[in-house]
Amino acid sequence: MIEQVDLATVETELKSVADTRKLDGSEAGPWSIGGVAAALVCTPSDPESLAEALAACDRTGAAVVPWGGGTQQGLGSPPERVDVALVTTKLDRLIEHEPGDMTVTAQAGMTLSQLQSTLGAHGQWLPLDPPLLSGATLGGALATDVSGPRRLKEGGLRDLVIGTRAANVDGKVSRAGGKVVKNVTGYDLNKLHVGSLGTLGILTEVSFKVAPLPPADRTWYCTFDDPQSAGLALSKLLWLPVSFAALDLVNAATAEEFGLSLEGAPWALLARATGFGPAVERQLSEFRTATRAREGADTITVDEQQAEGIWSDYLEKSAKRRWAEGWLTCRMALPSAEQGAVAAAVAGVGERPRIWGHGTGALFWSAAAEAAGRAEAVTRLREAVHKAGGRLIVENRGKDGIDLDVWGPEEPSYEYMRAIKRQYDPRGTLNPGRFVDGI
Amino acid sequence: MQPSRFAQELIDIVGERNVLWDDYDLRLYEYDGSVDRALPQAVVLPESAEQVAEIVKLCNRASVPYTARGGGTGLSGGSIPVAGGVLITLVKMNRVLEVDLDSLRAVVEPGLVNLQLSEAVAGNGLYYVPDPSSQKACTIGGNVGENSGGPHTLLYGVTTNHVLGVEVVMPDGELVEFGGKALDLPGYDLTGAFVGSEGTLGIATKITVRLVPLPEDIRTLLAVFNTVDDASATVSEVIGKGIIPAAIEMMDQMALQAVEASVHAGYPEDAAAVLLIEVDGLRDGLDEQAQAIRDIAEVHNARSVRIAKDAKERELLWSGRKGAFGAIGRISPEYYVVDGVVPRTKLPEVLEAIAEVGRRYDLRIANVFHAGDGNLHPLVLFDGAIPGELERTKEAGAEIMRICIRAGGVLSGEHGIGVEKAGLMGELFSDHDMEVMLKLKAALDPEGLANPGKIFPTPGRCVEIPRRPLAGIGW
Repeated sequence: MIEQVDLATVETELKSVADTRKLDGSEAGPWSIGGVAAALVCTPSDPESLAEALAACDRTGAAVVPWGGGTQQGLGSPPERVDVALVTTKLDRLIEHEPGDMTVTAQAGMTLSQLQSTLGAHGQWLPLDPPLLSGATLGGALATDVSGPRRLKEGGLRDLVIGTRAANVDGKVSRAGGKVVKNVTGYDLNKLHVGSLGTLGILTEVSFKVAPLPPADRTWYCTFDDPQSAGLALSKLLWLPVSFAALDLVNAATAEEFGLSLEGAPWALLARATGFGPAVERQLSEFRTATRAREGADTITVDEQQAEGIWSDYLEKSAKRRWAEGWLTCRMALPSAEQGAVAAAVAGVGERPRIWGHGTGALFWSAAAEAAGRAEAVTRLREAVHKAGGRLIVENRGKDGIDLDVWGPEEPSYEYMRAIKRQYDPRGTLNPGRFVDGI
Repeated sequence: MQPSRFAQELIDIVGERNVLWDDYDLRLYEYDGSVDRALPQAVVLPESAEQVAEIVKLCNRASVPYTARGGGTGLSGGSIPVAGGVLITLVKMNRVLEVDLDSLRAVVEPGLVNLQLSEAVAGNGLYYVPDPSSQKACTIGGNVGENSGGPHTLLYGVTTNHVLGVEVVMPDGELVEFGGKALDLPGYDLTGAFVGSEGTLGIATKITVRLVPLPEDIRTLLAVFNTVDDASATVSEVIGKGIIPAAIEMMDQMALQAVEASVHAGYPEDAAAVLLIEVDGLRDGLDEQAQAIRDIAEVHNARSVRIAKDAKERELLWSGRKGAFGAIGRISPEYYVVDGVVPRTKLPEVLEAIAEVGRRYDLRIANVFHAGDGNLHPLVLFDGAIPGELERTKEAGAEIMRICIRAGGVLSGEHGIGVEKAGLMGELFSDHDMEVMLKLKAALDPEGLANPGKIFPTPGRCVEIPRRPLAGIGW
């Protein structure tokens, strides 16, 4: 793969295109992944310099980690090497926002919260609520593709992205897609970037579809004795012609953390409906009906102000939980009908695990874990998930979890992913070894 | 006449009745819904994914290009075999393989007609959302190839938002699965990259789609305007107020006159533009939404606003729109459908510019389009029997494409690039941009046999691609 690299040469080349500094031992901490520290931090001011910096690294054999807010660098397998952290945060300009078009274009280093602020001033938002710490960038969100509760109604990153510009290892920025919401003009490379951990290129600019802030927004919940019953209610509610904004399954340990007491019940289905007032009221009444089967269970409505606090705490706590030191966190992708059964199975793994899932079938499991127990926990979790036709990735493997199988077993499709990687990054400059199948 | 050795090898895979090799039979497959034509050298009708894989392997061994075809309704030449070779038509693979009501998914074969999928699940109260106007004939596989849209994509998305997994015969002849029933699986989103790749990256043999509950109720409005600007302003304000209708369709005078003569839906022939707007979902609040839309239309000088009172009337209003292209046949021997997209706020100025093109080229242009998402379909009316008229029409089409690009749009909203617009790609993308896209092609189809001559301009060519005789096979 990458031969021995002469860091002095890399440093010289990078300094000629962008602000670059060499890290001394004491600074390395924040710039390390899995205990491996970057040697150089390069922070270009514009997309063209970023592309040139990337090419310089490619030429000199340096391994590059694309670095936005650095809030999720624990993702993926431990990197083969980390020479240069190539930082995108100076690329933070708004490029275009015409509210009447309901699209927005911004540089990839802008934070998600900054974009939401900008859009909010026009009564719009980028319809995403991922569990990300503040400082997370648009490029980072896209490249890691983690979704939040409202993916259920609003779609995921792959549905919202309509155009991208990316720096390639050849030193040039290329574009794909456009700034319009319907498009079939050339290959949809936007999709390739989603969830790619920056292994094909570094995003410099992104265009998204945006949505109007909904006129009505209500939250309520119901408790359950077991997740399968919650799952049954969820399945029924997915048949309503208008989607709920969110239908989240949370266990008591999770709910407690974001300030929702389940009064001794072990599980809850936390619902949100947005849109036109009368339709939202109807969804509340459908929820009551779907959950009424359980003896003594009541649907509890949350007042609007409290609701805002609950959702933001929930997301903030889950964002922190994903990377908490000493904890093991796994993210699961399941067919939604299987979520209840899998939640029940994984509730028995680990000590008082936090479990939370979205109506889409996404499910998170997180528990404090001694290094010794991690591999076994992952194996048991993965078994339950595969039985249900889903996939599990280890998110926070912890410093001692170097040998954990992050991505799971090889799939036949990985052969084609490797072929694609070979075309876009033949020397393996971008995040080598972190992606599926050692890509 | 006897089949050639190559044709015989195809017969060995699929049986005699599933191979066409006689010139007369091949002629049926030389055209699709576009204005281009190309004759295949053989046509094969596989009945299984395994057969498709064997056919692709045979083509690889013999270095013969191949092109997949569904309903043959494509408007950009995606399924015409410009390099000759084998035309693989998937129409016999048309089953619904699985309907998973628990997960709201279906797994279908590529040759299944779009409308038949929705019909198959209607009894369960579900449907498959993307509904191109050609849905009575187009196939799911074709929809995947072209990332097809339709009128209801503004709120609900296009094909790529509803296809969650595909089984593909890759250009190397292997069968592989991408994606699946669960959302957001790890790895590169090869399903997403495959949708809209116009048959150039492999052939889908199974498609996993999302099923969605049918709306509980629908309100359809027809608003009539004396100016196009009033109609556009209405669209902008409706969306600006946060009401996102399920569909907003606009037709200009020429289009609505042709439609009225054909369908008698009640479109007033002296109007400048009509808007067909639909809101759906839960019945709660639907009347209020429809009323709000009516109010906005009236603020913008709508001459009349009609709300369909029942399903029958709703269908009548829609039949006009869905049959619009066909209705054009009444006022012109032929028409050329242009498919462009612009940011919605640019629609009024773009429509102006298109009218100017019509004047300059002395061609009538009728406009039918998805006003909500800026996807326009100018219909350039012509008579192919008049020498030079087709060429002038294509030039007018290219001019319209340039207008779209200048307005910040792209070359195709839903019909694809195909043969039709490959020559224009360079006006939207740089050589480097296309080089980067072509790395995907190089990764998945290094031999270049999957539907050659589509999407990207081939060096130094206009429309001709040299057609080689099927190598070493001896026709």
